[in-house]
Amino acid sequence: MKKLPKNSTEIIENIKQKTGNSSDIVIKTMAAFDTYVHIIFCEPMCDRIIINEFILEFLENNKKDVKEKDLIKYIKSKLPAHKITKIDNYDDLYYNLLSGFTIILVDGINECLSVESRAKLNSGILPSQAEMVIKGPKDAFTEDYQTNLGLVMKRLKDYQLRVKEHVLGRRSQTKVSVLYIDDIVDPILVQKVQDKISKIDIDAIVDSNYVAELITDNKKNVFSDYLSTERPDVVTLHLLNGKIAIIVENTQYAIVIPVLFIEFFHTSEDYYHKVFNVNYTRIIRYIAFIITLVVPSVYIAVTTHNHEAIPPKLLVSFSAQRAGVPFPTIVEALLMLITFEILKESDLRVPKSLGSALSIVGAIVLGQAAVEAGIVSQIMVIVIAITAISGLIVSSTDLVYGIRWWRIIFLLATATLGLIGVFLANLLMIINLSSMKSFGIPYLAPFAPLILENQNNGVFITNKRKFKKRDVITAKRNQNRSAGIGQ
Amino acid sequence: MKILKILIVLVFSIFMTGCWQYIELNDIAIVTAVGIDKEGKEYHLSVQIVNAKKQTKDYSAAEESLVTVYDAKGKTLGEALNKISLESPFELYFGHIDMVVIGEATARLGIREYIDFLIRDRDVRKNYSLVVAKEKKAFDVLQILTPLETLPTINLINIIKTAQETSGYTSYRSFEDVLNCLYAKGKHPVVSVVEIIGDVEEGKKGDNIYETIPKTRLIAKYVGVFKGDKLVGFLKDKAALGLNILRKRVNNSVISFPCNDQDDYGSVKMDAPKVSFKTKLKNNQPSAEIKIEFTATLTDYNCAINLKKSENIKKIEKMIDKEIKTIIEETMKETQKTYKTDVLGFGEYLYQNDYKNWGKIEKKWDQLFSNMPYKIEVKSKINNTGSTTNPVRQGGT
Repeated sequence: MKKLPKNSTEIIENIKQKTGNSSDIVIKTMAAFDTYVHIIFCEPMCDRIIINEFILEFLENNKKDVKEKDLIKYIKSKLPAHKITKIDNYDDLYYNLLSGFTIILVDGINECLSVESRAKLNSGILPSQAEMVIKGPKDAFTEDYQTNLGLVMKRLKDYQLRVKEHVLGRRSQTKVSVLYIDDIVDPILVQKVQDKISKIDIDAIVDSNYVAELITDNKKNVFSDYLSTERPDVVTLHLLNGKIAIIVENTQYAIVIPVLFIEFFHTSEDYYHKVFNVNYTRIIRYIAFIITLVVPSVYIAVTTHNHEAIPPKLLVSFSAQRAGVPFPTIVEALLMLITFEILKESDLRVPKSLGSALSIVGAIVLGQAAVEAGIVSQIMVIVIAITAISGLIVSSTDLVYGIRWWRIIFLLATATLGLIGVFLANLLMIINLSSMKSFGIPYLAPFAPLILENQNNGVFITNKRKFKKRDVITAKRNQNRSAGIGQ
Repeated sequence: MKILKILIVLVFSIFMTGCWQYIELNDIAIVTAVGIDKEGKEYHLSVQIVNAKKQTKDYSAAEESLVTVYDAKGKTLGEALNKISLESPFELYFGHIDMVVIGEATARLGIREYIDFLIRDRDVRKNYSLVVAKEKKAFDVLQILTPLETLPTINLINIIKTAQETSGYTSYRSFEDVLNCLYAKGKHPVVSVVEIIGDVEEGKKGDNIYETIPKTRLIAKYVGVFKGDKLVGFLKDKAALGLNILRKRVNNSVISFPCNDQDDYGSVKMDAPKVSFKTKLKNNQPSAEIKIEFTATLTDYNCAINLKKSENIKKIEKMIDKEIKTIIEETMKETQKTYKTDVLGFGEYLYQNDYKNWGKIEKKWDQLFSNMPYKIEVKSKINNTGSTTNPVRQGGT
């Protein structure tokens, strides 16, 4: 690290040269304390009020006072700002300057001060957009790192909550912190995560998913082995179960690791409603998952290979609707599926004001007109519609996107093999899922391998799990939630 | 290497399942019923195909028949089937047959030769019903259009099923049941019977279903009795009801009983009965015991006996017992004396419970059965007199 020289002009020249005399770096020189004091800040990142009302005013009012020999020490103790640090090298200077701190440079001293003056560059805490709940806290993470940490910390006022900060990205210098509760978490897991994070070598971390992708192992798999959430309460619940959360600067999404496949079907709301009602909803979610995965392929199987598997009356009705459709059923299905995916994707990208036009075209033109024109059969529209609706019941986009590939695999297997194809594809998917591990924990736990103690939040949730027990897979110590029961 | 292993598994699983019958739904003709007749030395095969297009909204008013019947003759049924495919635009699909009809004359000659054809096709499931067309050809039955249910075959099957449970005058038999009886020892099969009422030619016309009382109808009224694979006759009314009671096929059957000599009647709705019969061999002479127990609900009562007294209910129960007894006796008389065929399974009971002695009499069982003495014990219980007790004729309540 290059130390700062005593000559302030030299430093200023260095700054000007490194930043290419950029117009956003403001350098203000004023005469004070019988010498020159330079105030340097990066204008877009700074709060003007702090600079004007505290820093400049302080210097203006005290510029005659020269009793103190060590000017840096004097300013540091007298300047009314909550965070002032001494800097003696170029690296820290640039980092602080470009983070929005104001640098106070005194001519003739090989140290400078960095004063907190960062502007709040976010839109404040907004309700969650992607993970809606009916009951439970509404707030979501913001782009502001400190706010995000605060949102978790205000939920866990526990001195055992550890925040280990890393700065990643050679160019982006992004703060990444690893959160866990020290007396619950598995220390080996923490060590593993810390090691992996410290080994990251990349120029910029733009989003939290960068970190997640870089530290997890299953890059070739469509299903995700980490959970990205924008809800601080989800992070809190997972921390309490001995998991590790990663919060990344400038990202609305926090990462939770490790994660099990079944947990994509759980929501934080599961903890806020009565368990009986939650379990009902969970059954619906599993049914929806199965529907969205296999219904198009089962329909194709029974209409092209296994006619014997449907009741005669239904067969007649299917046959009647198929009459006149020019394409094979598989083409019909792929056509509708791709249409739906296009519709979904364009609906995602289109400005909100155009959304209604899109839905009219999508629903009426593509649905109704295609049937009337005889391009697709009505039953196929129904099949794709139920598939599409069911596919959106889980809020995790990671799972939703993963299912899409498997749906196609199921379809192709079925188109060639009939119902046998459904079973083969299913087998393939189970093999794939059971071969996955999320930070050493089998993805299909607690079912494969079967962990009996953890069935209280597997398929269903029980009151015991909700109030008394932690997730034994990840919580290695202090597994009881209430102090009343023995440790 | 790993990929190779996966490929091997996949390839084998594809080739070893034998599931390559890809055919689109609109390229198959769904056969709902098959008719088999024999004319001289040739088989006359007819198939009834659903006109699926007719089931859609756009075509429901179109001037097309609900079903189409194709027929052909051949030295074997397979040959006849081949000839049918010359006519049909789609491949015939036999996976959802609901009914196989056999003409009476053909059934009397024996059905074994057709059964082979029906078992061999692996698409065909074995739970369709086997029906004999009384006095007509199977080909005629397939052509009759019927109202209410859109498909004539499903209509007929529903008639038979409902009739078996409520009136008990016919009996629904699936192909599987018939097969079981045919291969069982000491038991002969029975089948459902369909009768065409009215003119056959009128029934083939679409107009038939536009009338409030169709000119030609299909009714299910009899039970066909077989001896081995040959049809020997029909059980009618009470004899058929008795058969259904003994075979425990009734539920909610209405039994009327006389309560005095002046033609006053009451009736009860019979719940599913508990039936047990035992056959015993003594000196190679069989004898049987039949026990029937059931509960019943009074549905209709026009007798003078006061129902408010519990001993009178007992009296009524006695009357019902007597009536049931006559019904069973009727069945026994028909099967023992008229047709000499054991369709009730008295022989099967022996075969299962007294195997050693069964061997000695197996050959002459039909003869022994026709002279077999039997005892009937009926125990009925009225557990509900309906919403009123005494007959309305006497002022009710």
